[in-house]
Amino acid sequence: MKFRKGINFSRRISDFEKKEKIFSYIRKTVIIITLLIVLITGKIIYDNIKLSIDLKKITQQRNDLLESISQNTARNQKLAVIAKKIKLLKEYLNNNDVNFNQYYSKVSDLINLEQPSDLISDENSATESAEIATDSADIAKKIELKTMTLSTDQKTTLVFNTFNQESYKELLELIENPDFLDLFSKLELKGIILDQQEQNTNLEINLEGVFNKLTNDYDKKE
Amino acid sequence: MTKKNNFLDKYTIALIKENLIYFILLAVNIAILISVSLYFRSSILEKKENIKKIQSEIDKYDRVKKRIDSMNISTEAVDKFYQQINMLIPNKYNMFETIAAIERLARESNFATLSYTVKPENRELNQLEITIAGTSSPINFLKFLENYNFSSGKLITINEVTYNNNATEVEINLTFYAYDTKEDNKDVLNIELPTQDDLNLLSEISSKINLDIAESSDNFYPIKENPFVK
Repeated sequence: MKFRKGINFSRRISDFEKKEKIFSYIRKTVIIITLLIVLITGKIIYDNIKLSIDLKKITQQRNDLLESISQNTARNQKLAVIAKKIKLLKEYLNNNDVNFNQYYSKVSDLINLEQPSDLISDENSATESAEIATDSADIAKKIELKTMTLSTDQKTTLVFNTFNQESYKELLELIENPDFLDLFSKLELKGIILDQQEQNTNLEINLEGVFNKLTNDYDKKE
Repeated sequence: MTKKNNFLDKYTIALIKENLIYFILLAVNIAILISVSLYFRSSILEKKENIKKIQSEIDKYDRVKKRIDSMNISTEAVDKFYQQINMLIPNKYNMFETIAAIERLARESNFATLSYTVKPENRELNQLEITIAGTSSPINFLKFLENYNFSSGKLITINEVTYNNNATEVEINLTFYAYDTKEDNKDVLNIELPTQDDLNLLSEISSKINLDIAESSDNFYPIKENPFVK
């Protein structure tokens, strides 16, 4: 009976071995985990140190760059003034100026305007006036721009003057020419005035409109 | 059964005790990992952020430096351009200079000035308007309209023109400009630099002005130090 109720040694030994094995695995796992933790911790510390070194280097690089830029501060500031003022110059010329001459030249080229004679006497103009006066037949054919107003929004009034029917017809043809009409976004005929005197016949044509904005030399350079 | 359990528990406890050092080691390591991670995490993130910020600054400064280096222009040329542009658009108005500029423009285009009317200066727009009345022949007036922008040595614009082929009396509004760039150029890293086209334009304008740059700014208009000396 005693023997039957006695200790089963072989079973106990196998239990011991099992538990011993389990704890052996636990020990190995703990060692592996410890190694991993050491590695991870080491990596974190290494990264931090590396970042500190990188930060120091990059800060130095920035400071060197700043110093080299600041070496010529006066020269650079002068260049900046030039850049800023040229930008303003273009802006003022594009927005605040009528650019009269540009529009006048276009009209003059297309209408074959008679150039005004110089009323203030100087040598050249006197000679020119004399030459013009001698060729009266030529004058008679010409078209004169009596008045031209122009504002910065390109609104304009044009008064052409012709001296006979022939030049009047010529002017009408020129005004109806697409090249001339293309200069304007809007153009209206405001009136025709016939002023017949004893010897001369003056025919005035009044136009009112808005020029298409011409690209000036300063725009092109932007 | 109870005896068996007791026996097993005792043995297990004995094994745990025997391996306690490993469990402590594991706990300590986990604690170290957590504290190191927490301690360095914010530091690493902050450093990464700083590096990113400084790198972007370096890229920006590098571009500025490259642009400055690419400005292949001598200091003398820079000084000359600087004087020229400051003559066209000065930092502030000088009434004597302005009147001298009008006189010069009038002289060059045979415009006989009869009167000036100076309107109150528009500081906000950096503009000074002066109405001039005078006599000019139509051909001289056209010449005036061709040259007024720069020939006086100052930038001048006109906002409205009435050209009359018969009239000799003319009244016209001239606008002069001044601009102080002092405030714009405080930060040397954010400065704008002129392009080659800008410099070419300035050279072209300067070639239209028959004014000696050496005479500019302070000596733009004739002065006499002693009024009793001829």
